[in-house]
Amino acid sequence: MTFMMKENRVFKQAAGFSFIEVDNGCILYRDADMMAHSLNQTASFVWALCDGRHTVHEIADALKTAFDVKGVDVLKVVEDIVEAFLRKHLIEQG
Amino acid sequence: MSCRNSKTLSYQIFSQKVSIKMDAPDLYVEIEHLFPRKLFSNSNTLADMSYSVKSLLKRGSTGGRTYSVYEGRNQVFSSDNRSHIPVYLEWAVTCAMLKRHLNHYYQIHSGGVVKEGRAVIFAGTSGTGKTTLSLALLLKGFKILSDDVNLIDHDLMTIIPYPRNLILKEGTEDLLPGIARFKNSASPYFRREKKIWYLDPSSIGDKWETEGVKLGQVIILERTNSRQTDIAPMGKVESVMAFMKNVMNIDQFGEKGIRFLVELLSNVPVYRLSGNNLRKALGIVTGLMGSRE
Repeated sequence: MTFMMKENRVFKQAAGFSFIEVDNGCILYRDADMMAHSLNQTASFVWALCDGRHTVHEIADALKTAFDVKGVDVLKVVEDIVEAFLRKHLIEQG
Repeated sequence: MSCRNSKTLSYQIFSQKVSIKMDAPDLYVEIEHLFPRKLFSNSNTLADMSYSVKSLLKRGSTGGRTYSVYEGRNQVFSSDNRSHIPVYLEWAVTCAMLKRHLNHYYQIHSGGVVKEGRAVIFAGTSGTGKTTLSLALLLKGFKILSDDVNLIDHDLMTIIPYPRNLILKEGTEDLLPGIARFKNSASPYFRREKKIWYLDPSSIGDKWETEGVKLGQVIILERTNSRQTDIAPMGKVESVMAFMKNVMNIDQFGEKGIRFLVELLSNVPVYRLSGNNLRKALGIVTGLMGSRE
């Protein structure tokens, strides 16, 4: 299933997840279903900004600033990550 | 009614006491070696788990016997093959112990040896080479912990072997010809029609480490269909996720358990050894470890 992304859409973290920080990323863990998900640094950054306030576009801008990325379609990267989060029910529409 | 030759063997495994009443004298020697160095003499102490083993002549038979295992008063296993009895008992007690009584330890499905006073753990599912790698390093002069289950004490952050016999399979001897010298002190059993040897690690003397040691290194074993057998360092997130899959009771700990593993592995190198060539894996690991501590 493909989710159509609009830059101005906002998402919020699904309820119940604990954010466990690790050197090169994080682990999301939810007690209710005992599910653990590993996220790399970029995905951790995106997940943290899925707070119901930041739009996809704003998250992409923040990512550009934080990681000083060049030659990469950052908006596309964020959209792909958000799509993956939605598939795994880690976030929901804000 | 008790048999005239009845004897009771008592084991103490950590804080738990297990009694096995033996009404099958021909199995006494095997059962006596069920849990290495854990026999204790005070059989009057109330046991946490009580089993009994009985043997009866088969009806109309010319000498064959049927062996039965009881847990309390309930018959839980029966076989005409005496080799199945110690295998069953060892498995049943180990499962009950891990399930009911040792839940304050993290139970790692892993082999392990000691290098320079620190544990090197080989974590992986069955058939990935835990026993072979642990035994290969024993032959190289390293102390062995366990070839199958190691426990982590979360207060002390130390690794302790669960006291099981080492299991030598026929294929292991092809890869490690040096292991043949241990077969004299090992008890042979048949399991699923395949011959295996249970080797009491106390018979290898001071090369069995029974005290808790700090973790020094982790190697995650993964059997893949790739022709390439290779080792590579792992990042911290994937280390924790891969190690977690081998913690048999991780569900008991939830988030606290994951945080503990993150802390445990924070300063420990973790490698992934993947492939399907155990002989090559042996070469890689023995090379990584050096010759002896």
